[in-house]
Amino acid sequence: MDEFPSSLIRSITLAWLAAAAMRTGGATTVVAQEQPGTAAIVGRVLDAATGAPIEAALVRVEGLERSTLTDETGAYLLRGILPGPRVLRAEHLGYESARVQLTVPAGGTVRQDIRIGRTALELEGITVTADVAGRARGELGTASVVEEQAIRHQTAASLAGILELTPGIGMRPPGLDGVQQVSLRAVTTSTGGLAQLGPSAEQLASFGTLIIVDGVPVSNNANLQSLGAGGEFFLSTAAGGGIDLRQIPAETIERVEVIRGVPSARWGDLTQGAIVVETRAGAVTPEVGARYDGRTVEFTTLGGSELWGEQVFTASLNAARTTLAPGLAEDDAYRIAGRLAHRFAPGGGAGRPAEDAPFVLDTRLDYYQLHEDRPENPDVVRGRASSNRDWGLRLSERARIRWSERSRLELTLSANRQRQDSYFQFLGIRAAMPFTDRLTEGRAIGRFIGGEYLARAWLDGVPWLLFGRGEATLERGWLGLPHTIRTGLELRREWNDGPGYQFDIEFPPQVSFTSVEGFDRPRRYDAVPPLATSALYVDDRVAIPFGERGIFSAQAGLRLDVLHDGTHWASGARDALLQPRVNIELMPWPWVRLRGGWGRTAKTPTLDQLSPAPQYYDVVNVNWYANAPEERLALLTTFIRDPSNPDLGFSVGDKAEAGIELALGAAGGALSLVAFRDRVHRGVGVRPEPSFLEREHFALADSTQGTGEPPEIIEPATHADSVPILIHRRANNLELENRGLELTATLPEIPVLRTRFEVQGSLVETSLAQDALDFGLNFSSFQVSENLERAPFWEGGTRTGTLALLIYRIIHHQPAVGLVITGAVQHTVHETRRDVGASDTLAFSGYITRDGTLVPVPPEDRGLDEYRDLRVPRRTLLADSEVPGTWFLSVQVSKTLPLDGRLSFYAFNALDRVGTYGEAGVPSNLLPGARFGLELTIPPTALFR
Amino acid sequence: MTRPACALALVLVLRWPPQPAVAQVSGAPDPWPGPAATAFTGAWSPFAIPGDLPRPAPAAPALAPGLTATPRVGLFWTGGNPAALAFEVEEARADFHLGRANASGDHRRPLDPPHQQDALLRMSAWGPVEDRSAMIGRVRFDRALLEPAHSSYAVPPYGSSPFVVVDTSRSDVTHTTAALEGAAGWRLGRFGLGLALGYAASTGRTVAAAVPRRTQVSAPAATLGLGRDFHGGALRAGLTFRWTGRAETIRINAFGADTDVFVLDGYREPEVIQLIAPRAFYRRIERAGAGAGAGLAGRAGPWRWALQGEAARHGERQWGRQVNDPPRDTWDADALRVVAGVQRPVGGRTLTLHGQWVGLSGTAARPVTEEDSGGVSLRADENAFLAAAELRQPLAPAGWGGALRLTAGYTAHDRADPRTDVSLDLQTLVTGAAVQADGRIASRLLLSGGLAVSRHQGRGVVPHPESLGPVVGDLLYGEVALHAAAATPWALAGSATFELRQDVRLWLASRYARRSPAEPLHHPFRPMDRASRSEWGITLGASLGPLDGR
Repeated sequence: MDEFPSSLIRSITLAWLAAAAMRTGGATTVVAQEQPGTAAIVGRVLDAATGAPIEAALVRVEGLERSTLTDETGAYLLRGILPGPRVLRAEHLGYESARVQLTVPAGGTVRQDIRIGRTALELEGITVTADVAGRARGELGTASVVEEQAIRHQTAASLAGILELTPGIGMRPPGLDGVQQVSLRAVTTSTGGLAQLGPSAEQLASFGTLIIVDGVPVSNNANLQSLGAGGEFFLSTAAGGGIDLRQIPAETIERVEVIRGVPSARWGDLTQGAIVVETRAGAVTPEVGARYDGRTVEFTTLGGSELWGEQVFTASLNAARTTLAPGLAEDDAYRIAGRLAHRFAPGGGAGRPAEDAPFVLDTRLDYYQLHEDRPENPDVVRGRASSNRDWGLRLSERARIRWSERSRLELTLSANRQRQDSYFQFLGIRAAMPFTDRLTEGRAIGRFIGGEYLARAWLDGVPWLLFGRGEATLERGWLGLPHTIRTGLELRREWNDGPGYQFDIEFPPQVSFTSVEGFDRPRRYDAVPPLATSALYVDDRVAIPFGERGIFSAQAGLRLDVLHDGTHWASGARDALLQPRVNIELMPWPWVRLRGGWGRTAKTPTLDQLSPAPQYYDVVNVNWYANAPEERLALLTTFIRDPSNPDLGFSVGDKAEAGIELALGAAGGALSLVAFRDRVHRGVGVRPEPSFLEREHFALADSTQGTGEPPEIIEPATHADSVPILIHRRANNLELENRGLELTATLPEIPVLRTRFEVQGSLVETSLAQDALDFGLNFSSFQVSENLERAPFWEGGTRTGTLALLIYRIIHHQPAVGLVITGAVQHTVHETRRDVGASDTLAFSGYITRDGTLVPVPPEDRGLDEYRDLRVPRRTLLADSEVPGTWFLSVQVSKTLPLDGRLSFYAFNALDRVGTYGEAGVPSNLLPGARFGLELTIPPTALFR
Repeated sequence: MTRPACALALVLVLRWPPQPAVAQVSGAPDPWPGPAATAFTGAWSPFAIPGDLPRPAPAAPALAPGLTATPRVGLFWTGGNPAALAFEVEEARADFHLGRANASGDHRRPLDPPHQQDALLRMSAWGPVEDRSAMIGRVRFDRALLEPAHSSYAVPPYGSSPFVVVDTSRSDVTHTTAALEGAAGWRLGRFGLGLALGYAASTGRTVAAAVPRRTQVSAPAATLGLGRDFHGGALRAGLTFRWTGRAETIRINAFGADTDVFVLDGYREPEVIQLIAPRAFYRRIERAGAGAGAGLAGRAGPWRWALQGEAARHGERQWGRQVNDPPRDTWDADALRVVAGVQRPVGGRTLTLHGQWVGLSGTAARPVTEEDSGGVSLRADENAFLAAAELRQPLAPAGWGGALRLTAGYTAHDRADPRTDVSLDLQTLVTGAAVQADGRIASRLLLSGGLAVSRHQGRGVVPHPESLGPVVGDLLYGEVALHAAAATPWALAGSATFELRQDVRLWLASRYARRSPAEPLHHPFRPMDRASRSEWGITLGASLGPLDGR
């Protein structure tokens, strides 16, 4: 905030500004001296169409907490602005906000007029992509900042669609198709995890991406909607990865900051980066929007009003439905999302930024409902059906208190409750097999299942997240330099209160007679111990002028995350990690910025990783399958093994980057090139742990058929043998490394054609290494065959991938008629997948015996005749493949309508390109089909103007 | 939808992507009544590249009740050269309308649905931009329900290309179509530069069918225009270069039932592809066309005139296997078009004459067919000529106005299948008249009404149904028989326009049309001699701009 010392000074200043404006004609100019180390920005806010001054427009500097309102002549003054490239933003009710980039020197005053219009499409220099030189608020690391103008222009049904404006993230069809997650700086095409266990590189990266909505983290740590490492079927949920971004409608988002580089110490529970989302709130002109294409229908309404100067109410509602298999099945996904926002600012100023008032209390109530239903279509697959239904309610309170000119306190509290109901059914076709439904260890008479039956299961979870943060911000001048210091305490508690996993015990969904697998059995989620973490952080940001126009900026911080071993913050520490983070920026001239950063981050394990479901192993002792069902007899012993790991702790991310940004001429061109290396140590995966079970064999009495009675078991057991098993224990055994280059370039607009070009691209190399043994695909045969005394194992491998992805955009803008045409070509230049590791018959590392003992075999001995049975090809490695490059074009045309309306037409993969089909040794690279639609937005209040 | 057949301009509308009218003087072939239907001509459309001559069912000339704007003649309006846009567009205008239409009856071609419902959203606008440029654009969004349809087309059948995919399951089909076209023109001294871009897409799918059928079409188009003024604008010359593409995918999945699929390729009985559940059928069609043209326009005394000639070449490739570089069916066509317009005032009225000729020559081939014909399955030589005249009385400030429009069209389709020696030599002559009266009955209320009627006559050598196989006889002979028989379609239309304020009008328009054979129409498989087909449409719209369009 900028406060004027007195009305007299203000009047004099504004009068002087008006005179200066007449002299300079509107160009950005340094016109006076400001306090050493900081500068002032002055100017006027004008109507783009009429040139009339706009009173009470809010002008603020992005990334800094500085704002003010214009007076009756449209003039404004912002003081105490830290030097460097800044983005100035002007807002007024009934107008689209406008952004202007300028460079603030280390002293003096800069003059900058801003023109705003009733629709953004009629503004000069509209932004429809992420800001190349953008910075997240309070952050110095590399970030993509997507502003409201670009969000409104982007065809997106959810946050995932907006993130396409980030380098390295490909375009996808707009809609609610499938679970939508994002993995920053990771190859998105990595296929599955190693040896069928554990997360893929993409999952690990999306899990390590923090999502913040209105200052509150949206977590996935208590999502238990999965069936463990040995699950036999796939559930379409976000468990094990990031959150499902479909729950956040794009239409209600105002700003997205994608912090790809080293985040400040304020952000925790991440390894890849942070995505900071701000939703539209405040005094917003009511608007109604609708979107329709052949598959998706979406409706949004939003509006906000200021009441009595002290309060602002904002409400939004979004409803969307996507047909998932149009023409083929009735599968659909739909979403209802509503939001109520309230701001209370005693003494007035509720319509202004929070930092302007001495006390502001923001209350947000968010609700969403995201359902994905796949009813049975007997014409396609008889018996198969599933549904995933999520509800969420989040209440958050943020109090911001300014106790002095340069000191603020922010308190955030939020409670987030979700309900997740997953259901699936399928028509199981099994050979006759014995089965027991024991939930405790021991022996039991089993029964036979087999033939065709309908298996059904339910996973009902109720994840909770309590979050609290207290943060103090101090602005101090030390050693002649302006410092901004933040320090805070963060507390989180997450648990799941759901009834859990249940299935129809008569018709179990997961059974196996050809192996001894550890399957989940019904369990209650509310019995899973809660997860508690706490964090302390402090960081300092400083800008140091040098030379005539040079500026050096630095941000350094330290964060301590603690994972508690109990269920509350008072309990001891199970793991703790100190995370230093540093970002520096050197701007020797206004047109160039050199940046670098290094930092350590930590990601909390999930509830499922800390307390995985017990694994049930059933060993068949007696299997008497007579012709007459009443004469059949099965005896099974149930063993329960706990796959949890008391040593499991944080995943650790080390992020390093260096970059350069160049301003290309005065017409707004810019180029950013960043080299990065992100490394996740101790990623949480699955480590198969060999063990064995003792199996007893019994003789039977009266086993003559035709008696109508089952035979009797003769105790004691005649003999016993051992059955080798694998316990899928959670472990910090994954190493994920992503390194590459990110390029974003905006060329200056060609004035005659009103057209500009942009390129957004990335080259990423990913490798995911798993510290675990690979027991191959034939381990189940070894388990059930008493004659096999040993089986080979291999060392864990490394899966690598490279992806060079470029997106070219051509943007044609005709402000005079409110028209913007955007064509985007996504070009996959280079894509490879490769597993590192030998797969020949001598690649085995040793063998496992029937009692689970691992016996290594030295490489020089593996060719010996005694190991002939172990020399089998390793089939768990992927063959090297180079995916054929391909491209497709998407188009969007937006046009103003009378009464401030806007119509957009969009076509994804507009040319309906197919891609390439797979051939021998070459994988396919098929593109999503064409999709097109219309989007209409109307402010109803314009009808009554 | 209405399929006007009285003139070539009306014929062209049946092409897909959406084909604009050649000029408003001929009556825009649009089933959506109202002033916006014809006020906005489409010669400039980047999709308006000659390359197809479909054979539509007979229909009355279109009516535009409420249209009080005088038709225009010029290098842009008649010849479609976007370079002349900045020279010939002086005022701004915008139209929006929502419409609903319905068609039903058995006087139809075999692959037409017995019943069809349409809902449409359309927006269009033009106007000068800054000092030396002008823009024009329109958006169309259409959703149609065909009850039922058994051809797998996104492109309506009975076009010049003989390849049509048909399956025997009869299911209701919904089609959603969007088309977006725009052009910009710049004046650079005496020179003009123009670019028109268009994109159209359609997606179709069956409704609750045991044999789901899905189609997807994407079609971009572009026109580059160059122009120059001579003698202070008395003479204007221009060059146009056009390109268009189209990609269509058809998928049929036999899930809950079996079906037979045919790919018609001429007059030989097609191979039956039996889809036994759970098999699937796939066909991909890719088409590209390029053309070039030259035009002149000018003024001579009270006359305005324009003349444009264009040549285009199209290549279409179709295949059914999802592999890289599959064997392809091909259709290659060359087309020529000459269009001319003349206009002059006559007393207080305006007389506009318009004429157009299109010639097309094409060859279809299948790579796996007969060696004795070199794989050629069909050769086509087709010609169409259109002439139209309109006399328009402008609407007096407090009185009446109206228009009388006369049209004549002649088409000749000579199509032969060298594999079977079956050929079609069909000529049709269509004459039509439309009259429209507009009156201001209150200071802000304008009423308009019109009547249109045409006479459709056909003659020529038509293959006898017994010389054709059952599939071709059923699906193609019925179309040919309907085309060759006489018919007298007529249409009535009316509109009410309310002037909200100066240059802002709301209007409601409706249209009813009906057709039936004027002579016995024999078909061995379908009784059609007493059949009729009726269509109605209703449109609600708003227009921004001067009432007289100037």
